[in-house]
Amino acid sequence: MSSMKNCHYIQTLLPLFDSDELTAIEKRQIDDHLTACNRCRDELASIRALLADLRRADAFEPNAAMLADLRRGLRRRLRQDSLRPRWPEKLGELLFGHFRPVVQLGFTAAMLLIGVIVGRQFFAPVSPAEKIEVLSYLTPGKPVAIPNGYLAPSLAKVQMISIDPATREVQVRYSIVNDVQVRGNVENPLIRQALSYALYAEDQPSLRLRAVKAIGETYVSTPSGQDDEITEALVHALENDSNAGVRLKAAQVLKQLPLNNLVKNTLIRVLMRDENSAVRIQAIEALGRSNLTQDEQAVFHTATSDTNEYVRLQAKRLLGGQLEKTMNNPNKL
Amino acid sequence: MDERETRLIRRAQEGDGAAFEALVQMHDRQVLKLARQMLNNLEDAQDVYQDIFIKVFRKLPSFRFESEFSTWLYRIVINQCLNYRQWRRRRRFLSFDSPKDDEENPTGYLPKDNTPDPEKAALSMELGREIALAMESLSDKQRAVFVLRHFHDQKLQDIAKTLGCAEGTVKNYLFRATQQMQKKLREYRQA
Repeated sequence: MSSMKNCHYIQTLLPLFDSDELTAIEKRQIDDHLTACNRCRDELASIRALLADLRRADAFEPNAAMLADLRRGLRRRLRQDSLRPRWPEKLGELLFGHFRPVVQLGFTAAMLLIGVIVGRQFFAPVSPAEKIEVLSYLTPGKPVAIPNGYLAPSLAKVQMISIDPATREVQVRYSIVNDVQVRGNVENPLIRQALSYALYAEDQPSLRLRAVKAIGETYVSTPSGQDDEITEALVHALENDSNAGVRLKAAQVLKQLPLNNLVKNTLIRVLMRDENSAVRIQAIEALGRSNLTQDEQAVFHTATSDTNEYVRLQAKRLLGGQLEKTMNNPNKL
Repeated sequence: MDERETRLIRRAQEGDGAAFEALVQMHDRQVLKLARQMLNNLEDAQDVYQDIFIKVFRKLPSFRFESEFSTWLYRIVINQCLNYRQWRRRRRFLSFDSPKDDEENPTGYLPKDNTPDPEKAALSMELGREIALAMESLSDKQRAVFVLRHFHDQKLQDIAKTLGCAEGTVKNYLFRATQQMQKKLREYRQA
């Protein structure tokens, strides 16, 4: 057969035979070849058996606790990482990338010398008056007033202590962490940012729960409408939070907001997947109040076999209602 | 890439920690699975998890939306895992360590907890063990192609972008990997 390709060429294509990634010509070449070649037919059967084995073997699925641990570790490391200065590494890479060790040493010594000379010229000792002014802001434990709140620096880490035997002075270098407290409503961007950060990243469920409650009590009633950042944080909590209380509260708050596509799709997923029946109840109630497309209404069919009786009843009621609406207004189909 | 993901990336690029956290949470399950499949060891995959996301954090400002975010992320995962495998091989060579596998489950595969049929679960686990052992015989690139193709349902075109090579090369790796897997699994069954 003239169009018949050799076995090796055909076999390189066989792993893709059941996918849609072969061209029509390649597919036809394989079909032609397989009708006449037992060896390649066996090869295809063997590949199919391998793929079936891959599907049958249960794949590793990380559990929520493992992921939560890893995320905590990552958060810690990112915090440490952001405190560490990065310029020495970059400068090192830039300068010494291709230099030999002796040259590197000489270069380092020269840079040090230049550093000392420049340092003496530009960084003269701070005058006592300046020192006092800076210290009044940065003394640990003394809060500094800011609009609608305060900023309270506290000592985080003592980095260096040196003693001058001649003057009997002690020199200390330490870093501080600022605790910031702000008061206001959710219109305040600082508060909004802090609340959504708490929903994404705080370890304590009680803080996350308070964040949702704070949003529910102040944000929903503000006249300025929806804010994407806050809605996304709520949606994130509803779908991903490990604490059922937080998810439940997030669903209750979202129920009070106009349902955009993001919220609606999340509620559909929650109704189908959340293990907590109270959360599913909130989801179906919220969805019941919105206009769903016909495809989206399929979720109610699934919910008719929910393990929770209330969800099942609600789903049947909503399906009945939708049917009635459709019959009254067939043009909407 | 959906609109929400794009928004999160842009916010994370501007230094918004919460947005970066959300991006991590969107992708880390798949990242951990891929790392474990590449390294065949959960402990190593957990070590690499942090390195991967630190790298993502540092490189994110240079992400230009020229590819899917997941493709860009998978490239980092694969490179980090290949570096780790190389480092592990060197260390093993120097210290004469025996190959390190999961103690409880050396295969990288676990039966689902809620499986109703213990016999089926045991068979499935045995099969997983054989597959994982067979995958150990693949070269680094063959392994990456095989894992992305069969455990992450990626198309040849996406794999080529992730690995930074031509589609034809990916096709070739896939062919070699498939042949090797068939051979190894046949050997185990005969043994």
